[in-house]
Amino acid sequence: MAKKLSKSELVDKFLSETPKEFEYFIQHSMDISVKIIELLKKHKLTQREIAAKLGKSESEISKWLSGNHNLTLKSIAKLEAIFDEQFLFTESEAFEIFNNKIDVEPTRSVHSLDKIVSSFPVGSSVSFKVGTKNEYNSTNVQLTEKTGSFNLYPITKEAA
Amino acid sequence: MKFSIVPVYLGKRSKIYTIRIENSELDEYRRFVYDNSSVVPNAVRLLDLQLKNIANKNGIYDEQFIRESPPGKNVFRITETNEWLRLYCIKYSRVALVLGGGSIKKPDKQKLKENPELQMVVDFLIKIEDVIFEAMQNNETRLTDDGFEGKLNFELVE
Repeated sequence: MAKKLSKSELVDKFLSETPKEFEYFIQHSMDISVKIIELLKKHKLTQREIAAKLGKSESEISKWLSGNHNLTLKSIAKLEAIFDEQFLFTESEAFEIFNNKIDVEPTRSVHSLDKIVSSFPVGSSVSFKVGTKNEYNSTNVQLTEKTGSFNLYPITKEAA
Repeated sequence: MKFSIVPVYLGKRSKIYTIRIENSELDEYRRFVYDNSSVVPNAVRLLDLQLKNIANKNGIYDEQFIRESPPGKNVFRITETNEWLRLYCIKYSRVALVLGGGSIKKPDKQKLKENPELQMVVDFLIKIEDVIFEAMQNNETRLTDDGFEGKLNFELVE
């Protein structure tokens, strides 16, 4: 006879049976929500102002920011148009953009990379090389909590 | 009533705790999951994933919470899903959450006061916040980037 599960074990069992698609949904929904929140801050826009631009109610925008709303691709496209910024990338697109920008000269790379890296989720760890094509250092950065941007470590030559 | 705050998800982005009342079989968050899982299973699962995401990936954003307590207190609800499932918490800036309970808000009862079960959860959390606040004032309990430290067992005098 099967052992009767305790309430605590039932809770564990219930949560462990969450479908994988739910994980992806929340991951995307939360990422997009945070992206919108950061863009509103960056452009100094209120929820009311963005609602007016989109022809939506403020409560609708509040739902969008909740992190569990099922945004349509049309709504995402409208936001991308307003902010002139792409929200969704395929893996190859992201890789291509990132790699292209890596090759720009160091003085420009901070600015250029900032734009790309800031499109990644806050908290992401990003690894890239700094320097010229022939002489560079590898470095790791973590996107900062406040800005969604990153701090670039100074270029230092490795000891021979 | 004696209670302690116990971890739920201690992630790199934020720390999520809940309340465990002495001698109760389940802590408040697990009781919330247990009570609502048969009614709105998908909403409960999505909410749980949202908490994991807040702890491990994106952190706490004010925009994803709605204040339910008077100004000066920090009881919020995590914005509800389409199924009106509400979970309440004490929010400590962008550092930590202490989860309480919650349940489904009746769609035809717009105000919190019209949902006495939910109002009770909010009132309870306000009292819990006061007790924790006092311990923090006395430096018995501290909140750092690593979460709560020091005294984690408390007593709420009714």
